[in-house]
Amino acid sequence: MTTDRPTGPFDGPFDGPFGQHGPERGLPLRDALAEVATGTADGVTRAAVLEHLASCEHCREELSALSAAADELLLLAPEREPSADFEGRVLARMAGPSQAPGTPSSPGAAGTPGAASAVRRHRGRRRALATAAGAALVLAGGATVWTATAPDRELAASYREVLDLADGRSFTAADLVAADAGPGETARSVGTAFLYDGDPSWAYVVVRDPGAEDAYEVVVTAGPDARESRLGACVVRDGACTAGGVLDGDTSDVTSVRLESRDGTTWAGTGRPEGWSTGW
Amino acid sequence: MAVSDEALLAGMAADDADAAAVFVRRHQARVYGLALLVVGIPAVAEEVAQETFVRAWRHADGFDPRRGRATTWLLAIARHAAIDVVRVRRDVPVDPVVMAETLVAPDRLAERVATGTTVDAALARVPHEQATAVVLASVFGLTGAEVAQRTGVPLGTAKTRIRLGLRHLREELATLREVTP
Repeated sequence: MTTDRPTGPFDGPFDGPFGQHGPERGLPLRDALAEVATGTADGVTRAAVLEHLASCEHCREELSALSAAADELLLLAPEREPSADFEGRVLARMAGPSQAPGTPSSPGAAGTPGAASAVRRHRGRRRALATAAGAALVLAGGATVWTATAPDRELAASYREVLDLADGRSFTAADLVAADAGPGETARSVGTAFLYDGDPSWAYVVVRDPGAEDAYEVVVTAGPDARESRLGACVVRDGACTAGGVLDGDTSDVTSVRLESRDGTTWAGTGRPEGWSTGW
Repeated sequence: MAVSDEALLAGMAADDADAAAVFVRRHQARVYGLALLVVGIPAVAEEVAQETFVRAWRHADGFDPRRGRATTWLLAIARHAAIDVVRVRRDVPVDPVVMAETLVAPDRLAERVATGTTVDAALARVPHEQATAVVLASVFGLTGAEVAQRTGVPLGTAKTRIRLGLRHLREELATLREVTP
């Protein structure tokens, strides 16, 4: 039997839940296991439960059984057919925006080599984006709960946790693309811009492939009047640069994030507003 | 013979677009149905359903068949995607309590039990208040405090109903599977 003392949210009138196993186990722990199993635990509770599970096989098994039961409930939802060609639209999204215009997205086209390679490119880009997003959160001092390789359930919960932590509303990201592509050339991704919509809202850029200059000015454009906010310098160190700052409005007003060279020209920027995607 | 979900997910993990097409076709009604139940707006539900399959494809290589069936794994992704949307949008017309009450209504459960649905049979044996509370938490993502507020009971009562409801459900599922493996 473990001699660990309970800590955190399980302390209190039901003292001892971590040391007890079986039906008499303390209520806070049993409630917490149910909350984790249903995916409704807050970050503190979930962290405490996960810490406890590391040394309690009985609770691991119980949580696994409770989670399986909770997941079974999702089968209660009545089946409904989505609109026509739903499958085609999903496959097009998997192929990503790099898919050539006019590429058939019908089921029959799914197995074409072109579609398959597009899927592979997209997967690689997504992974790179997720990794960059994780790096940005660490750099920004946020909760380091984003793990690109974690199962999706964990990832979605972590996303909500990040938002819940400070009552944030959304977290989005977009490619930063170099502006030097000539006619017919493919635009080159040099980094990622992130927008957090909360109180306050902020923008943050991560440049993984800086150009020749040693610093760039981060400029955010927002609103129908295209007003500009300058968030400071992104100074290149060790082949990368990061910078960010607080916005004076909602991120929904943001139309672009740009990096300016010293001569005032745009070196890189995000694409159109619809290019922004949710961080998850 | 139909290819198993596990084999299709393995194919998706290897970027097999044909496997992805079959997987989407097979599960789209279930995923869209769950999304529509939670968000209540067809266009938004379809976005959620699309996002669900994109996430499933992205994480197909992380699916572990030893930890559960592909269907419930996929629906768990759909649930999270739908709840994420509900938390951000303020125009979602769904009243979770009304929907949960509908799902656990004895008549509906009895009708579905007749078609051989195990989870409905198990839930039919769980006390009604507990069944409602555990559906609100598990399907609609309501916390204990939210369940308490929406159902007009003290927080402790809501938490107890969720906990006991989940435990009863687990036991009933186990019993039913022993009888009809």
